[in-house]
Amino acid sequence: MKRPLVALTGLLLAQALAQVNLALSPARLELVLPPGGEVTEVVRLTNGLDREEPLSVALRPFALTPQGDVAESPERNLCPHLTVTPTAFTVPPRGTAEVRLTMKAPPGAEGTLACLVVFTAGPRPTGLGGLRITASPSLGLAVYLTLRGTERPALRAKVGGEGKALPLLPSPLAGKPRERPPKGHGGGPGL
Amino acid sequence: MKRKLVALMALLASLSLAQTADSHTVTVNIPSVLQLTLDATDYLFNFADTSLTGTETVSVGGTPYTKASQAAYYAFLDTATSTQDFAPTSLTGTGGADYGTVTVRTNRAQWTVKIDSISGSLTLGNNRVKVFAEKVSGKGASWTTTPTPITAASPLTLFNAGSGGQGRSVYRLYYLFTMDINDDIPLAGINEQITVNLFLTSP
Repeated sequence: MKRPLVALTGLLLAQALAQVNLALSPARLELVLPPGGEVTEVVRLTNGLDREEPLSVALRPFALTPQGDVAESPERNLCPHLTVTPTAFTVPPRGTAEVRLTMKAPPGAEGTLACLVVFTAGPRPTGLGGLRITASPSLGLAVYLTLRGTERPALRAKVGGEGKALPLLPSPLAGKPRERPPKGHGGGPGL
Repeated sequence: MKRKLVALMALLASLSLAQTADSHTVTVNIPSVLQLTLDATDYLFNFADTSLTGTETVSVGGTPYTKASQAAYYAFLDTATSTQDFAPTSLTGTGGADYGTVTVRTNRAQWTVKIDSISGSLTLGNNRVKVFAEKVSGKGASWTTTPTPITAASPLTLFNAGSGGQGRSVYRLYYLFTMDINDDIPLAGINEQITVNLFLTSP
């Protein structure tokens, strides 16, 4: 009985101390539309704190790297065809705000287009004096729109080599998600 | 004969009704979710602080770093020949802990936390600020094997799960500040701040 009580106290303390507590649902959007089609989706932002959380929205074109990372890329850009409403809003204390995303499938485009919808909270208030590092948190919603009838394969591979076992040779498009960087690498590719 | 026919019809009707009654609708609603929680949002390096004795340290990745204070800075000026990394004097929001805690809660397999951008610039250079992410529990792995300048890459991945990242993952976030004995500090001193944008996404 004592242990759950301690755990509960710790949890409540962590909640009380939290400076940021934001949740995004859904975590990403994958849509299929015919060229020229239009769709509107609703995304929910939830604030787990007892104070309101002002958020702003920005759109960024991106693509997935062979390692599965999100990397800024102007190619296959969905952002010009995506409208977010509202672009700035406040999530009430322990409440939820809804954001509408309207996508128009551009005629003439092919395959899958992508755009990252970034929800950013303002920097937290700080004291004065000294050297300070403050944090401003962001949540990114990856949005993918595939134009029906123009789908492209996500993986290209061919059989190569000699002998009894012929290995699959992945093309540059293929790749497994990476969890760790190469040794001695402080940072990785991505957005 | 007529009675048997009526009984048969009644039986068939009841069977048909029974089939209707056996039809159920099961609705499942599981929204995907991505949640970010931070406690510390303000790391202070105060080399004019007189409340510390200069001997207080913070262990970062197994290495002790002296907390920034006037006493520690004077000791640095007295003995240093090159550079020294200092831990913050204090943090806001941690309840006394010497590190910030970042929690990711999600039902997605893949996610990444990175420093996406830095607002502001320090006179001594933003490269003087180092970051170290240490896994406490949950999924994924840290990308910082040692304290790494926040300008080492842009964006700078701190930790991520490439697969199987579902659940609650907790990481400690440390910042250090590098002082150089050759720094020529302006007469007015340095009171500056930068804002680091912490970015969570699931591709």
